Amino acid sequence: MNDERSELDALLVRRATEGLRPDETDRLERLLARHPEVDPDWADRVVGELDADWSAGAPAVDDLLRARLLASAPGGEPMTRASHSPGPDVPAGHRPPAAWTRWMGWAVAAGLGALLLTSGGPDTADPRTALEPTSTDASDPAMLPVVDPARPGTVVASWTPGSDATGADVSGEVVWDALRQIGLMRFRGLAANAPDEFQYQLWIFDRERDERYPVDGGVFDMPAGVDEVQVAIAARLPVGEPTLFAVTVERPGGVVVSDRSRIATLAEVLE
Amino acid sequence: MDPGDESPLQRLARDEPKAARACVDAYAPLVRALVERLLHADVDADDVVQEVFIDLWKGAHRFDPSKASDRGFVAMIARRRIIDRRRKQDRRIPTVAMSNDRDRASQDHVHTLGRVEAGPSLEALQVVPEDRRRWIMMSVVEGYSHSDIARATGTPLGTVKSGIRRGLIEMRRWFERKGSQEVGS
Repeated sequence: MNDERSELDALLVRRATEGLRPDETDRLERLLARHPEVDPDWADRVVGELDADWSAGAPAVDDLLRARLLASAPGGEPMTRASHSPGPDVPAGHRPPAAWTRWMGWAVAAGLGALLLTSGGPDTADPRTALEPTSTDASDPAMLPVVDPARPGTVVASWTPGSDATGADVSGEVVWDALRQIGLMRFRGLAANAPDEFQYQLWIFDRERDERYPVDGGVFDMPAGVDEVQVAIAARLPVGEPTLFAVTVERPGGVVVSDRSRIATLAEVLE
Repeated sequence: MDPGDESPLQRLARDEPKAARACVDAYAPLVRALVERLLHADVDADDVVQEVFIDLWKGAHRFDPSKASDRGFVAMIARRRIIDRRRKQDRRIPTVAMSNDRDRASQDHVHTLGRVEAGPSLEALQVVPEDRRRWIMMSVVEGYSHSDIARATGTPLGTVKSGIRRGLIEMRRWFERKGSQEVGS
């Protein structure tokens, strides 16, 4: 019986922290039926208190999301033009993007990393101009976020070669919009990779975090035969104040812990 | 209880007018922060937040202030939806650490723990031995899977699993000793 209680608690903890497989869920339900004295939600509640305390002070959501949530409530408030009009920070001349398009860039970035391919010509782009997506292939420019270096709270940093040969000829820059938590990287000269052999992984060093724990910015590839690639940044955690962007060479799919043995390129945010 | 002390969630459970608006204002930032922390950026976070609130509209009547705080209950609802979405995506758990020095384990998450100093959870965490505390933070806050924690810290997976389980049990006992006033306030 004690073994079953231990197993039951173990399953409840796993459900609360990372979820269960279907067979584990079945097992949990059978054990709960055998042990009605056990509170089935105890682990979820403890984890919930920790989640709630950790998220204290989170900023308010934008008006569009707020309107959506109110509209979804029982007897909810219908969304009106005023309730979901674009905010005042939309640059003049830009078509205000619907909320979903803002995140579509991430949807593409999650897979290979959103790729914008251009070919030919020297690198004459002014790094201070907005990294507007450009493409000569079938990729949809609207799939990438527009990141404007002139926007308040945005940083720009230039790539420099790292210790690994893959980055020996690298140039380009990274632009990170701290307010919107989106970014774009532009690479020229980064060695092409075969995704089944290795992939590139971005790490973002944040002044507000311990430097031993940079934020994982996502995994991406450099296809062969193109001169330049633009990649949307898919940061897994909020980034407060980036100080350094680093790209390492990792096994396919990326890693949990990088040994930093192959640093392709670095971009330091200058004061 | 003084009606003025009721949480938006309790007011919602009683179908009080304007309770939904109060819930959105009170809990949407929490839910959004959780979604952004635990889900890969390739999902539409707003969609997931909306799914959580739909779950909340349906489940608010199950909130028991003697067992949990209103924000803890909302976070619980949110995490269940987030885990469900994450498993459907079959995505790798979000990761943070970039260290090959496992001897630094004892220093892990000092910065992290400072973020929850205002909440009862930190007090509860203090009763947990350091290693278990660290694993709990890596799992709950950083989103590591138990397997990833084992690899990152060089600890056998079974030890991590049992350590997290025992740590959460210790936290539970702390909350129970403090009584519903601590958890349900």
